[in-house]
Amino acid sequence: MRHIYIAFIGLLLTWTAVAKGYEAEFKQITKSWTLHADGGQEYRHSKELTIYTHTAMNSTYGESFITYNPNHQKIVIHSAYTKQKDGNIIQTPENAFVEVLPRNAAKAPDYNHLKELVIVHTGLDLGSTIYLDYSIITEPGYLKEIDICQSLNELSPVKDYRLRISLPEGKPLESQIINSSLKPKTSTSQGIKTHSYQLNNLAPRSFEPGTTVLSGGVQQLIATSYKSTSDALATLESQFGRTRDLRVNQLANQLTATHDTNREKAYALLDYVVNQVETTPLTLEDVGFRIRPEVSLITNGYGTEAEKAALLYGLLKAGGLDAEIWAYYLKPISVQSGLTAIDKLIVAISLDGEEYLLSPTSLMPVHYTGAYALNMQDGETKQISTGLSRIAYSADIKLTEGKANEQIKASFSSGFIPFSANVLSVLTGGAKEATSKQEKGQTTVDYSQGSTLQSNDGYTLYRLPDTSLGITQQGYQKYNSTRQGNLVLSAPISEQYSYSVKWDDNLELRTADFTKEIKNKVGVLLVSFHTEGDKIIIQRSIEINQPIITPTMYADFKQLITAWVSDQNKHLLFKEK
Amino acid sequence: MKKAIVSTLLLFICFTGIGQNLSKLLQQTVDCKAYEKHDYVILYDSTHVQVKPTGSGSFYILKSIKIQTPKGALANRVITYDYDPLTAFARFQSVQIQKADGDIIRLDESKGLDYATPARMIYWGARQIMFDVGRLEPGDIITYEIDKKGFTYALLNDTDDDSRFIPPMQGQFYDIVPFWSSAPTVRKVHSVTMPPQKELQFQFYQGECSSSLRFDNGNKIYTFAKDDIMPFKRESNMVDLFDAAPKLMMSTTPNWEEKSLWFHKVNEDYGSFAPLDEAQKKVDELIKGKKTEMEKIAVLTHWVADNIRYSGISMGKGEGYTLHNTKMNYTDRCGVCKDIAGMLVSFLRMAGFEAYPAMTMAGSRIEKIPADHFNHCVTVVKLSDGTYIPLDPTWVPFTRELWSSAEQQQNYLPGIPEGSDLLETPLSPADDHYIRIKASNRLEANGTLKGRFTISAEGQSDRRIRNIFTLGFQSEWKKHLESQLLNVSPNARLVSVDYGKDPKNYQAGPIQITFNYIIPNYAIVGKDEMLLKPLTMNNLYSQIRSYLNMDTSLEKRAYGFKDACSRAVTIDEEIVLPAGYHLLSEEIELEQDSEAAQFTGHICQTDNRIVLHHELRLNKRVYEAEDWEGFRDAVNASKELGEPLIIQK
Repeated sequence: MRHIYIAFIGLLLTWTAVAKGYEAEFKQITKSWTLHADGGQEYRHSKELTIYTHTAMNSTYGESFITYNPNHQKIVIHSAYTKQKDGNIIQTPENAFVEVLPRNAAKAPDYNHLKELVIVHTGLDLGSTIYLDYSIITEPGYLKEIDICQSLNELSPVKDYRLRISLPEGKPLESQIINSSLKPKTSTSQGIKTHSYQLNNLAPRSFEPGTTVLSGGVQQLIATSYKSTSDALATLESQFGRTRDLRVNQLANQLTATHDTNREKAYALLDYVVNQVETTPLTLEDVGFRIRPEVSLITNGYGTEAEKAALLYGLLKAGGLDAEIWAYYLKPISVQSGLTAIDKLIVAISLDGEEYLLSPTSLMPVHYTGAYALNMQDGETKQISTGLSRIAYSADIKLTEGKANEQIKASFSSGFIPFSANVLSVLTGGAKEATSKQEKGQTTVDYSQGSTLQSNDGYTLYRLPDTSLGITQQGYQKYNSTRQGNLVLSAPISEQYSYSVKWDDNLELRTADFTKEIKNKVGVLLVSFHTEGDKIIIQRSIEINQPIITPTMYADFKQLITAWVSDQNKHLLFKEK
Repeated sequence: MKKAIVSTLLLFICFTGIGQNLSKLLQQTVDCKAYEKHDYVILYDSTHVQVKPTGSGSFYILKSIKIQTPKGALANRVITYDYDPLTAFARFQSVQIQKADGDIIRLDESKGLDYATPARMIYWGARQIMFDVGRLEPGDIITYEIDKKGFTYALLNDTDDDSRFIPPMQGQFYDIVPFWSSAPTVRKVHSVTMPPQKELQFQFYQGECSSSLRFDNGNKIYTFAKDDIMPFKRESNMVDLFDAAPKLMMSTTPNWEEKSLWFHKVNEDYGSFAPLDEAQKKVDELIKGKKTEMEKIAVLTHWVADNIRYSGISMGKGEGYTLHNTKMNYTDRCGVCKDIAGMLVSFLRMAGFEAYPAMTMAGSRIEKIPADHFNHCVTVVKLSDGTYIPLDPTWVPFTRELWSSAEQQQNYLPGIPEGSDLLETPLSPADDHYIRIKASNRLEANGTLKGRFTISAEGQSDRRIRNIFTLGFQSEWKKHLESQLLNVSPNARLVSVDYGKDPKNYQAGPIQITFNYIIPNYAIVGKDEMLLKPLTMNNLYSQIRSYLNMDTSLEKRAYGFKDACSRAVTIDEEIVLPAGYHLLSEEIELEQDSEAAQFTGHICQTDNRIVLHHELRLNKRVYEAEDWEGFRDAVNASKELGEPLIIQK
């Protein structure tokens, strides 16, 4: 009877998962990290995953992928099999374990030794459960410390999630789950200290765009046995410029030889690192937290993002510029971490009294609200934000002889401005006879452009010109009408557009004057079309002062965005006389 | 062995003249202005194949590339070459860089890397060799040689056990050589040395080259060369480059019948389709109660399509051309197309049908010359009237089709006991893939649009609309549907949507979804007039109307073109106007008719409503260049019906 009861409960739970519309359910995930006294480590991972739909079976969970370094690590498979719906056990055959090069290591000869073990889960049918239990054994010395930064939410719910971190008693250990109030259960036994967590019914990861740790939508385990975040960073910092190779200086001199100002020199050096050194998208963890010497990137033309940051830092210093290298995090500043928690390394330079944060993979400046960076040289921390994303745009427009002649002046705050000599082309869409002026915190461009008016049944619809930057290009207008989680904007927004439009006598303006104003918890929108004699003056402005949009604010946010992109507020209708 | 390499090299150099002519080729890059703007120029691209009586052969590849810009230097910083270790072997023989000042740096060829390539979906252990050339500079010339042996190649080592390099169709050799390039190529040469007893048939397609046949110690040496190959100018939506750009096809196999017979035998000999008790039980369960042969064929095809997932693991020897056996397929429940097709053959046989595998080429044409230009495997089944029909379980998951019409007009070769010539799948009627949208809208005086529309579809159109249910996460279904309206207007509000109780159940009938919505500020409002686009013509379900994304500004086409599938798109929309408003324009009546496509449509005002009717029929998947005019006219007419309308008080 007891067996029947248990079976019934099991069926009921399965039915509940299916009824909730899940594709699959992790019955259990267990992860453990062990640092041994000799410095060796073992990471053990086991999962039980029940498949409910073809979506889960075909494209989501059919394979498991494990990346490792066979020169210092080995994989031990403890068990791998599928229990089919009817109870039949299908052991994963030998030929379903396939070792390949990780895609991120392609075209990177120095990382060609890395492996990805693909485990193809055979025997899957609807209702089947995948069982996989493996360890990655790391030899002493390859990984210095316990260093974990893992998002816990999967695409499907996890019924029972267990995490355990063990190391010799004398070692420090800090651990925390971000976006969770759960505290570790700590214990010490036979000289081994352990932090463990158990999470029940962990919700699946949201598909909503912009769901991150910073938005609060992802639970993330961070744990480290480094004494401090600075201690961890010191192991990276010691690898920068260690070879003191003269070729770095030679290259910096060569790249900056024809440039007079520090700004031009910095443009040239960043352009080289971004565009002439290919990015190998391996993480610091993938490469055992090693950074190849700068000269390797110069002579071979590729490097990881961290290596490119080190090269940029080295080149800027060699070019006589005041550069600093910072570790950039997408997590709360209060959480102590090792190196895996670093989102990227960035380089800060000061030019004309202004500080620029440079990414080694993009000419666009680094900016995310809520993130922080830590100076690898002196341990200083700073909150990263570009402040307001501000655009002030004005256009003098004349509609004549079937054409629109537009004279435009626009100012952009620094978050929009690429760190490049090519800034004018980006901001004006390649307009001819454009000029630009850079002042503290903003760049102003002047240019003219034209377009041909389209006639339709005796009417002309004229679309007001716009920039290729700004909130419209973020695509928020395509976001769904409701949200469960927070939306983090890259920065608070302030955009103001003013237009003065005149037209020929053969056109008659049919758009009526109107004013639309929306003021809500998230911000303010104002649209005003107002005729003054032979012209119409149009003001369009939007301000969003909340960098984090909570679900309760989201309707207000959508109201502003949809009004902002509404066709009625961006067009003039003329009748042809 | 070394001697053999040297003698072959000398032979090759003698034929190609590379030794003497490198500086001449280099000079051509200086003289030819068209090369200037390119990041790098291939000075010389040659391959020589020495074929053995077994059909295996040795490839010798020699390539020289001149770097012209830093971007070109970055693009060539590593050299890679792919091979399949089960049937081939490859290695770098030499790599050297000639600097602009003439200095030559010889790199240590033993430092080449050899590794399993990154993989997804197919895990057969494909390998790649790579050489790290390092950062090059404009003006550098990199030259390298590769030896490769395999089915079509044999390395010059007589002491090794070469059995794995002998092609499965013993004694036969074939090759498919693209003569197009993404970079300017000063000279490309492909030569093949055949043993005396072998006859080679060949044809150069879609262009010209210089060719020769010479005799040497009883061997026959075929050489094909082409100078000044510029990057192929593509047209949007054009057919595959194999169907448009210059290519060389060669084969010793006399005709497709022989290939068909071989393909039949190799799988029968292996026992790919041997019955299995547990699979037989499943077959019996599936066909129970099915009365007609087509009902049985359908249920078996769809079970295999939906339940044998695409993920290929290797069976070891024979992988790539042998179909996994019933036990492996039924146990693993996964495989690539050939294994999924093989599972269906087994199922059909266990149900009493005569069934076989067939090879096909998804994406491009197969020529008359029986070179193995295949990339896909399907199934054929013999009906009671003695005819064979093709079935493709890999391409029909979650669609009621048995042969995917996304593969219509496609060549295939059944591996049947009596042998077969190359066949072609027929056109699939546009009506079998209909999309129907019926919308009823009401426009208010403030520009708000309220209404409902129902979309229904069949065949491949059904599959594309239903994908969100059959492939997507259930938690996202409604969001995807709301996004269809947001694509029309960011102001759109989805009031309700009805997709039935079980939209995943594709067997129940054509998909049908009904939306109810309100779109404030839909029309642009003037003083006494409004401007609006009919909702059904305003970016609604544009992902299944792929023809709308085709560039119809192109007046003529040099090459054939492709659309997703034949289809018939019928749209009816009515918009009730606010009181006092009328449609300003005259009634629009459009009609286009050609063999490739037809369009009829109109917009008019009836009482207080605008009535739109749209009927577009696109009759093929693959079109000839001459079809473009008719196709373009019909699609442009469809687009014209979506132009903004003015209504006036």
